[in-house]
Amino acid sequence: MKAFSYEIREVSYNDYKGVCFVLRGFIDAHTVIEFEKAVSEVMDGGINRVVLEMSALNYVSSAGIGAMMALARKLSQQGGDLVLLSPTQKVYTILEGLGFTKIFKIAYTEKEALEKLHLADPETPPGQQ
Amino acid sequence: MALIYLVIIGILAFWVASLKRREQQLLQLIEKYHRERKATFAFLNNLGERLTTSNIALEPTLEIITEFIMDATEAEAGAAFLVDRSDNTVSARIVQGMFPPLMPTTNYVLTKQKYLEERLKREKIPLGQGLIGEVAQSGLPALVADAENDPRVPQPPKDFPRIRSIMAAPLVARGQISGVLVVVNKRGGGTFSQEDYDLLVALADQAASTVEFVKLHDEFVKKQRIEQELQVAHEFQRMLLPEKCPHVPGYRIAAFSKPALEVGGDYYDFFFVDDERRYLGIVIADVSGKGIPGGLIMAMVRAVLRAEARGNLSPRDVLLRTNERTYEDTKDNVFVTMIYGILDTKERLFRFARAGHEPVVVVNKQTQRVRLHSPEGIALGMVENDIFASTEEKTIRLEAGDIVTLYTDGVVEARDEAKNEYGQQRFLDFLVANREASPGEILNKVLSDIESFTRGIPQHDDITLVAFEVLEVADEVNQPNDCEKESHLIARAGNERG
Repeated sequence: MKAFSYEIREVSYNDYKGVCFVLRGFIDAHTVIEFEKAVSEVMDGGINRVVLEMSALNYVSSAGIGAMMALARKLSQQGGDLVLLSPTQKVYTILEGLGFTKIFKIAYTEKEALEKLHLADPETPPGQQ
Repeated sequence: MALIYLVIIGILAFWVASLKRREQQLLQLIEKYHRERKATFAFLNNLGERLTTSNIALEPTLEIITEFIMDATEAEAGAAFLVDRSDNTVSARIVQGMFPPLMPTTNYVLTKQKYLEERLKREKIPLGQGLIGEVAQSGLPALVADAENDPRVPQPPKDFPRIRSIMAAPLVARGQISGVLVVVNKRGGGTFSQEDYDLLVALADQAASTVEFVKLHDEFVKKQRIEQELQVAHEFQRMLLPEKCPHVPGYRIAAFSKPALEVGGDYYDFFFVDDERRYLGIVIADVSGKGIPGGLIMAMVRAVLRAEARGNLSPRDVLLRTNERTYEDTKDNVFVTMIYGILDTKERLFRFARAGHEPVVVVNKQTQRVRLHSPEGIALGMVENDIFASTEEKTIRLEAGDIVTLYTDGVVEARDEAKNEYGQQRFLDFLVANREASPGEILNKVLSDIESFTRGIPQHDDITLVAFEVLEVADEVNQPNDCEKESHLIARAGNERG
């Protein structure tokens, strides 16, 4: 199994476009380079709303968390945002210990993630989006 | 009869003439070898004179070689290309004279020689493509006397001298093709001859081993320099760690730090906050970046914190001020976790704040009770103070027999070959099991236990621990000074890798 891999999926609502990275494996000081490259390529394409789907991400080292913090900051500077979707208990505990659960937007369903990115309207009943 | 004479004379004349011709050929051959030998010797002399051991480097060597092959073959332009095995391409490292672009191209600003040179150097020619790519792949030299009608040679756009003739010879050393030497257009308008070609091939042969040697030397020097730089940074970081743990009546204090790379991002510190030496500041920290940048951030945070800590009895306030002053200067992806505590040595109070760091562990010798303290807090350098202000302060009342341990995540995240973590539970159990030992002994034992767990697997994170014990009697002297031992440990950690 590869140490780290990802898939990219487009998420959109009305005129807004975003990207969801489905992350697998772990992000450490080595694999973080691949992660940073992938997100910067997407951002170069003008995307400023990003979801990181993390249910299959077993571990994130401080280098990986640093990269995610930098990404969140960059996205918000460009009027966008970052949402972490379904982090595992282990990853959540790491984030919590660092005090970063107060900083990151975290969601547990895709709908919740899109709402937090303002890609879905929470007022709109399901089925009408 | 006269006819026979005439025939004999004719034959003789023909024989003499062919002898003459043969002699001429031999003379030419000798002349050619002579020229090659002369050129080769001159080349070696030239290299020897211009490259002394102090300035052996790849680019100057290639420059000398390129100049020389241009002179020897009377070429208008020349270039030295090197093969890049990582992506199987070949690209120019040195370009001399009006060397034309060799990849079919548009939009060249050809009037600017410097620009063209830079473009040429950036151009990566895949192995096997075009004349140079072919030579770099096959290792066979090529002479194109009539380049204007050869499809392998793209003609440059107008306003640039046409490529009339071109020669390329591979640099082959130790069975590997490492580059290609190229010359373009004979001076004075002619085309390159077979003789020029043989000379270029002979010189390339000579140059190949020189280039190989210089490349190896270059790598060696670079590696040596990096090692030296790391050594300096390592020394610098060790200088920042306290040489001795403070002597505080009523307490026993120990600490150590073992960097994973030559320069780690962990540090610990002790200093008295007040002049009366009642309030002892205790720091443990982990910078998220390792290597030299991590070490520099550590130095910055340490300096800011020490300045802010002076006279301030609120650890939370000191962390807030430290965050404010370092937030702008840390990169977006770098943060620092830290516990900063102030030990009121008189009242046995430990007041601390936790900037996203591992919890404070308190083990009591008598009761064997383990308490973990993890007040709310955010790592330094990531958010501005309006958010960072949610970091809390906690005060714990200590009793005799309490052992307070601070640690970095490198302790609990140390991994064995199967990637199992040492883990917090094993660490806590170990602290309880060894509670009777002095703090210095405990820390040594923890390190040994981690080493026996990881079984020599190199660790990716620094391992740093600080421990202090509250003694029964407040005025006990002659306590072992465990930090001295630990700086010894750091040195050992450095030597192990050397």
